[in-house]
Amino acid sequence: MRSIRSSLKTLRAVAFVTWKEWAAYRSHMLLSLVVGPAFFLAQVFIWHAVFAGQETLGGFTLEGMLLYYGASSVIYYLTMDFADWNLQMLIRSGRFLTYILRPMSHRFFAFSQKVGHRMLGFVFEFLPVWLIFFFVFRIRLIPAEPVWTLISVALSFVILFLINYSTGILAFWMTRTDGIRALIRLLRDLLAGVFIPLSFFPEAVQKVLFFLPFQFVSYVPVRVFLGSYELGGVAIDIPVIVAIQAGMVLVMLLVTDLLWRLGIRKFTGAGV
Amino acid sequence: MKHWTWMLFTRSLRTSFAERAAYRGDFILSFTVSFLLELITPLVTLLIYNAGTAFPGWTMEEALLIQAVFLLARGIAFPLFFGMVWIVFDQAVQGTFEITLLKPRSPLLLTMLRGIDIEGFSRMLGGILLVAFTVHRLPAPPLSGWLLFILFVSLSILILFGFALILAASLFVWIGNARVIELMESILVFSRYPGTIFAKPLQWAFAVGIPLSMIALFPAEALLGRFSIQMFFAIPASLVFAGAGYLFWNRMIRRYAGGGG
Amino acid sequence: MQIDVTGLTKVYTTWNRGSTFGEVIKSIVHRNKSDVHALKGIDFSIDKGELVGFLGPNGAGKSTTLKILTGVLYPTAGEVSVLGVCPWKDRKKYVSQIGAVFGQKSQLVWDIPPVDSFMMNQAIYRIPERDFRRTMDRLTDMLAVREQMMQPTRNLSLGERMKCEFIMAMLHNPKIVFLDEPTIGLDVIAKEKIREFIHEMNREGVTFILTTHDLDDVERLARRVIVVNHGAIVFDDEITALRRHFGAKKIVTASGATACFCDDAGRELPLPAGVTLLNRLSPTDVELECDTTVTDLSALIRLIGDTSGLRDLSVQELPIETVIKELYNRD
Repeated sequence: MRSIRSSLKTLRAVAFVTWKEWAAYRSHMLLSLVVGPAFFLAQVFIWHAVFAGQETLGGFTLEGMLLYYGASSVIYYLTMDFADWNLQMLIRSGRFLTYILRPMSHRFFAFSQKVGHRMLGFVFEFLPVWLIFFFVFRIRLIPAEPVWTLISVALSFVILFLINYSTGILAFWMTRTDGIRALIRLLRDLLAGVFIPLSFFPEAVQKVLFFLPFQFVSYVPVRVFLGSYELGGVAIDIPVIVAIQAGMVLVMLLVTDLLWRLGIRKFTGAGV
Repeated sequence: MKHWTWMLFTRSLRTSFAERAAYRGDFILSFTVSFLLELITPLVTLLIYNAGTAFPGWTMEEALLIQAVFLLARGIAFPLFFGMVWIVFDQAVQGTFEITLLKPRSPLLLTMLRGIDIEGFSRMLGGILLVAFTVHRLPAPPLSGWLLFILFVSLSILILFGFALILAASLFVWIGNARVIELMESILVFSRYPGTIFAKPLQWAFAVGIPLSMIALFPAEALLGRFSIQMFFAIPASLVFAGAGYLFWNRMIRRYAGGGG
Repeated sequence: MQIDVTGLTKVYTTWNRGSTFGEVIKSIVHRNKSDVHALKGIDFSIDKGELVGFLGPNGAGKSTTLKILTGVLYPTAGEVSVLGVCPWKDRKKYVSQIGAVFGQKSQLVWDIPPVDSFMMNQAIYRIPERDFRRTMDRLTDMLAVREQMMQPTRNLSLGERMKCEFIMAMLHNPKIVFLDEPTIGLDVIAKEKIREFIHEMNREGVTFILTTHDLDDVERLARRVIVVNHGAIVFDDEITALRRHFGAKKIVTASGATACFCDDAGRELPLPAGVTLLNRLSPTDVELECDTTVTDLSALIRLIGDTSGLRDLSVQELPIETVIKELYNRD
C-alpha cells in the first residue's frame, strides 16, 4: 500500500512541475482552438455533401458521422502525447543518463509528465474545443454512457502513452528515429479510425485490426462514447470491449517492459 | 555572375543528399512515409466511393485527380521551400540567425537553399504517378487544358511558397512554436476536395481571398475541361498572396535586425 | 581609420507582458513599455591591422556593438563607418569583406565534412576557383587540418572543429575578422595553435576584433583593450595601461624564517598602510597586495626581513582578472 501512495505522490509532484513548465507555452496550446475546429469543419462539408440522398453510410447516419469525428477530436485532446519524441530526444542527446541515475522508473516519470501536460491540455484544449463544437457547430458531444466512457478514455490515455513510449525506446537501436516514428504514427492514426471510421475498411481488414492495439487508442473510446461498438461485422457490448481494452493495457505494459530490457543494455551514454 | 547562384543551388542539393545519406535507413523510411502520408486522403476518398456514395458531380477518378494534383504541387513546393521553416525555427530558437545575415546573399535564398530536403521529392514522384494514373482513366484533356494546367500548377507552387514564407517569418516572432505547421495543414485541408462541397461564398473566398482552390482544384478542373469564372479571379489572387508572404518575410527580418536582443 | 564609430546608441524596447494571468490579460489591451539602453552613445576608432580586445560583463553592450559592426543590427542613433561603408546600409557588399567566428555558434554542417561547407562558402562568397584552392590549401596547412577536413564534422574534436570554423571565416580573405569567444572549451594546445594562427594572420594585415571572457586570450593576443560596461566605454587603451590604471599595485608572495605578520597564537598582526593580506598560506607564508604609491616595495621587503627574516620572495603584477573585475564593478 505504501508504495502505491508514494507512487501517487511522485505522480502528483511530477505532474505539477510539468504543468508549470508548459504553462509558459499556453499560447501554443491555444492553437488547437483553430486547428481542431478547422479539421472538423472540413469533415462537416465533406460528409454533408457525401450523404446527400443517403440515410446511412458505413453504419453511420450523417449526425452519427459528425458525432464520430467530434468525439475523435475531443478525445484526442484528452489523450494525446509526444512521449516518443521526448524519449528519443533524451536518448540521442545522452541526457537520458540523468534519468537512469534516479531511483525511479523512467516510464512512470514520463507518464506523470503526460498527466501534467494533459491537465493543462484539458483546460486550454479540450474544454474550449468542446465548447466550440457544442455552441458553434451544434454537435452535442455528450457521452451515451458517461461512466464507461470515462473508463475507456482513461484506458486509451494509458495505451497511447505505452505505444508512443515503445516507439521512443527504438532510439536505443537507431541514431535517427524520425522515419520509423512517422511510420508508426501514420499507422496508429490510420488504424485507429482517426481519418475515417474503421467500418469503412474491408471486412477482412477490420477483423485483423481488432487484434492490434491501435483501435483501442481512438476507435474504441469513440465508439463507447457514441454508445455502441461494432467492428468486422461483430457487435460487442460496451462493458466487454472496455474489459478487452483493459487487457490491452496489460499487453502493452509487457511489450514496453520487454523492449526496455532489450534496449537499456544498448545504452552507451554517448553524446553526454 | 549567374553561375554562382547555380553553383550554390547544386552544392545545397549535394549537402542535403549527403546529410540524409548519413542516416540511410532513416532516409529510406522517411522518404516512404511522407509519400504514404499523402495517400491517406486519396485512400479515404476511395473508401467513400467504395461505400457506394460520391462527391456530387464528381466521379471517383475526378475526385482523386484533385488529390493527385495536390500531391504533385506539394511534392515540388515542399522539398524546395518548406525546409526553410525548420531552418528559421532552429536559428530563431538558438539565436544563430546572425550567421545567415553575415553572408553576402539574400537571407531568403540562403535559408531556402539550406533547407532543401530531397526526402520531400518522394511526394513529387507520388504526385506524378497518381496524376498519370488518374488522367489515364479519364477522357484525354485537350491541349488548352494541359497549358492551363501548367499555368495553374505553377501558381499553385507559388501559393505554397507564400505559405512557407508566412510560416517562416512568423517564427521570428513566435519563437519556438512548432505548431505553426499544424495551423497551415488545417487550412490546406480545404484545398483537397471538390469545390462543390462548400457553400458559394466560401468557394469565392477560396478563389479570391486565400486562393486555396488554385492549389489543386483549378488545375484538376483545367484537365477535366471545366472552367469557372472563379479561376479567372484566382490568378491575380495567387500573385497577391505570394507577394504578401514576401513582404511579411522582409518585414520580420527587419524587425529581427532592428530589435533583436 | 578602418573602423570609425561615433555616438553609437542602441535602445531596445521590451514589452512587459506580466506573469500572473491577470497581468497577461491586461497586457492584451495595454502593454507596459520599458526601454533598455544597451549602448549610450559610444565612440571609438580602430586602424587597419589592429588586434583589439572587447571586454565587459554580460549585458554590457559588447554583443550589441559586435552585431552593429557586422551589419546585423540597426542602431538607434550614431554613425558607423567600416571600410568606408555603413555596415547595415550596404549589408551585402559590406559583409563580403568581413568574416566572423563564433565560439558557440557553428557555421559548419554537422553531418558532412568541413570541406563541403567550405565549398558552400565558395559559392556564397563567389570566390574564383584558383583563389579558393590556394587559400584553402594555405589555411588548412597552417592549421594542420588537411585530413580532418575530409571527415564529417561530428567526428572531429572541438579543437579541430574550431580550426575549421576559422578557415570558413577566412576563405574569402576578409579584411576584418570578428571573433566571439573563439577559444571557449578548447584544451591548452588547441588554444595555443589558434592564437598563433591569429597572430600570423594579424601580421599579414588582417584586423581582428576579439570579444571574450578569457583573459588569457586578451593578454596574449590583444595589444589594445576596450572595456564596455553599462553601455559605455570605461577603458580604451593599450593593455599595459590597463594594469597601471589602478595604481601601481603589486602582488608580493613572501616566505619568512619565522611567523610573518602573525603572533604565536596565530592571530593576525596589523599590516603597514597600503598593504592588504590576500591569502595566508601558513604562519610563515603570505600573499600580500601592496599599493606602491603608499608603501614602496623596498620598505615592505625591509620590514618583512626585519620582523620575520626573509627566506623567499616573489613580486608580480596584479592579475588582469582583478583589474577587470574592478572595472566591471565601477559605477
